[in-house]
Amino acid sequence: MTMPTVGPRPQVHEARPWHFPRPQVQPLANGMQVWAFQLPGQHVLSVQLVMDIALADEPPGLDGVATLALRGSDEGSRTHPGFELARRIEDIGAAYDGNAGWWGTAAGISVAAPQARDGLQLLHEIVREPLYAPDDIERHRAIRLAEIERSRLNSAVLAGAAVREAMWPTASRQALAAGGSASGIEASDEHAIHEFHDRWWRPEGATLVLAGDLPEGLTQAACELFGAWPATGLRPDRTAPEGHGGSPTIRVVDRPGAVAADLQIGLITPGRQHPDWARMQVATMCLGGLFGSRLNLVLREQRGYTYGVQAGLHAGRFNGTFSVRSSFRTEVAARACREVVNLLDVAAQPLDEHETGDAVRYLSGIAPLRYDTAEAIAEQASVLAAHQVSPGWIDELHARIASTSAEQASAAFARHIGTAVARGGAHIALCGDAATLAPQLESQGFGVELVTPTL
Amino acid sequence: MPHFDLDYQLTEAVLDNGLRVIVNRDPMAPAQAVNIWYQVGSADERAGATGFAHLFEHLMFSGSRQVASSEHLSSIESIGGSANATTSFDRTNFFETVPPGALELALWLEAERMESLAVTEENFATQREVVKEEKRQRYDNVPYGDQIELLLGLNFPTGHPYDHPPIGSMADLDAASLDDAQDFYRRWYRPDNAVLSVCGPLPPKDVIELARRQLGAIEPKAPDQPRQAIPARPHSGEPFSLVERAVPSTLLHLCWRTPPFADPAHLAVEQALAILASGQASRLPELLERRIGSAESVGSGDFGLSREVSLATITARVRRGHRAEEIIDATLTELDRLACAGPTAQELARANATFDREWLGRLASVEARADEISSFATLTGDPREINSLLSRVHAITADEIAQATRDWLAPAARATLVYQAQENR
Repeated sequence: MTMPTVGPRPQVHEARPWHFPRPQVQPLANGMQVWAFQLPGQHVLSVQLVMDIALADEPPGLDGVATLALRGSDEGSRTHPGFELARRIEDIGAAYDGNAGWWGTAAGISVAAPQARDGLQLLHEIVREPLYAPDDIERHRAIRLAEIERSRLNSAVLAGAAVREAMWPTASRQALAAGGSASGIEASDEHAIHEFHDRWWRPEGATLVLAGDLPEGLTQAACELFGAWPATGLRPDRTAPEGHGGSPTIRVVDRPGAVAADLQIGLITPGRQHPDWARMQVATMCLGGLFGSRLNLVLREQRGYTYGVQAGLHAGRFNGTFSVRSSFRTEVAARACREVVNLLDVAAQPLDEHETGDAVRYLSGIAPLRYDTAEAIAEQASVLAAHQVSPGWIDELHARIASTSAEQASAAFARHIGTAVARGGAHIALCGDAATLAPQLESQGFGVELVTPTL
Repeated sequence: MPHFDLDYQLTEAVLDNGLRVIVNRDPMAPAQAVNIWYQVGSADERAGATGFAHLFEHLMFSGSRQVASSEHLSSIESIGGSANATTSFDRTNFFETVPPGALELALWLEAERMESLAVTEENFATQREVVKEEKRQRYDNVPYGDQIELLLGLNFPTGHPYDHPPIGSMADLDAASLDDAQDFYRRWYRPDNAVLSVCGPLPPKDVIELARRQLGAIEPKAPDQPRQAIPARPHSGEPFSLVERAVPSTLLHLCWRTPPFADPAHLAVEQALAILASGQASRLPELLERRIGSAESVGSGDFGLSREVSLATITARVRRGHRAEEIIDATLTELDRLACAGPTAQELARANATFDREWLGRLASVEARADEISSFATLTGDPREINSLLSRVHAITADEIAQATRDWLAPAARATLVYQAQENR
């Protein structure tokens, strides 16, 4: 045996204070804002237009129309019909992409700095004058329907759908997938898409995010180009969606013969404006956000029940959503569910300062690492813009996280999440082989309800 | 010529024990990225021990002389950093991204497990279960989960280093023992079988000094080992495989054995694949998705394998109401056309512009840049190729792309996998 050569653990030096980059903010007369993040050395620019469109704006029965309006938008414009538009985008090496989210549709282009002006022009063209030709729309509907067919074989998606349906009222938009259900997609033809685009793709409430090593004059050019987009006068009042209370019964989605069972837990929480938000974030990290979290250490590192278990707290525009996701082999799934529920009961076993200290240092230290590219900054800024929150919010959140104590984190989590989960007030779904799972869940004291979620 | 003349400064040192250290200073970067490539992957596994390289990657988090099991990741998280590892065919990489003041801690954690990994029977058994859970979750319980295994089986004969995927088989994982792990560790986890890349704001001189202090005295546990590499000539006889599965749409893979990553022809093959099926305006997506409508999606890629041979695929998802054969015929026609006439000037410019954006985007974060530095240092020997890659890609002519198509993507040299959706599910 040779002597060890590696010495004792070295000291870590204090990190420098960090701030989320502050953009130059320019309001436009048509109700838009431009946020320009100047990031030296970031040669690939990310340009995102975030529009004030909620999925609840989709007409009843046409869920998915917002997604189709986005996906079909680069299939030809009045200026560059048919294939010409895609060729123009790729001639400058750019890529167009986007997302129709719950509180905003983001349409964006990623482009190298020297081609930024052409990229901006193309983004403007895509947003203002898409053709939505019938063949292209038909193809996008077929693609979305095929995605839905694939989800029918995906346990994680099915468990998520079962939770969503329990959490939100039947027939509310929130109860369906963001990309729409099969029946909504079937009903969304090119006329519906045109109509949706004409009404909702508008400048009021929209934010154009520019991030990267911005060439001189680009921001001004963007303001002029998008400043000419006429306002339509549509600025609806938005209100918080109302959710349902939870149930002690586990909703089981049957996939006969599945070799593993996918768990999802969901709960609606207060949103990012609530004084407890940062405290809940810290507690969520301790319980299931970090590799060294309670859930992961017990279920993965001690028991070997799973490849990993994650808890997350996500902000919407008004509410937040707490979730736990994992996958377990069938024979241990019911036991694992019971352990998850027990481990989330922080009132019974409060967090200590060591745990919350790690989580606070993680959340504070990881921020500059996460936001180190133009794309990452633009993506975060787009989420803030969709929620109508100012870019200074990230710094405010970090200040609150830094001053969170173990006691505060435990109390906030118990108040809004942990106690509800322990007392059967969350929404729990498990997707797997129901014939095996149901008796095991019952022997762990859970009620079982078989469900078939709408996809 | 590309619009960008990349000039990432690289400083290199080889420590006395053979560990190669490469530093890229990026004064603007908020973090230090640490990236180690060990030159060992699933291609180094012996028959009956598939999945071992990946299982071993998990064991590298199971503790060492001064670090408890699971403590590596917890330590990094608690100082606001992130860490992970991945296993591929030719290498296993371990990486941390940390605030600059924690660089030495990251290097120390790597040094600890390079020198004195200490896995107990209990940790071994737990991580084997974790890996089996990973296999269930990512492969066995999802539609199309066995595609990669089928593809490799079709393209490489049994006994070839690339005949199986890194996740391995359940039976082999069950058969793995702690003794095997100790042998594997001694054999492959040596300083002279690794490249350490560090990217971030600290000066190269300081980084190399820290690396020397933490890792410089670790002795190799075993002498250098021969690597398995078996040349594989292009296919003949058009191997064809059809499987039926309960999936919603049929998938089609056309496959070719291609030059390995470091071969001069590799980039021309990549560009030919890009002209054919990378981006909406490339040939096959425009033709099959948009004009004919026979495919939901079409894409292409090369695995970038490094031992004598690599593997390229063109993959299409067949749209309902259409058949795989239609797509095969149309693709072969396009291959012939590209082989005869090459790309147009506009197609070439488009592929180059797209490559520029993708490569610049890839190098934008220190984490990915450190990985690319390790990759080139390991696979071609020269990490400076991260700077010259754009001009080397732009220098490839239309004639060279046509030639690469004839040499490496010939219709007669293809293998075909049809992953057929069962009717009347």
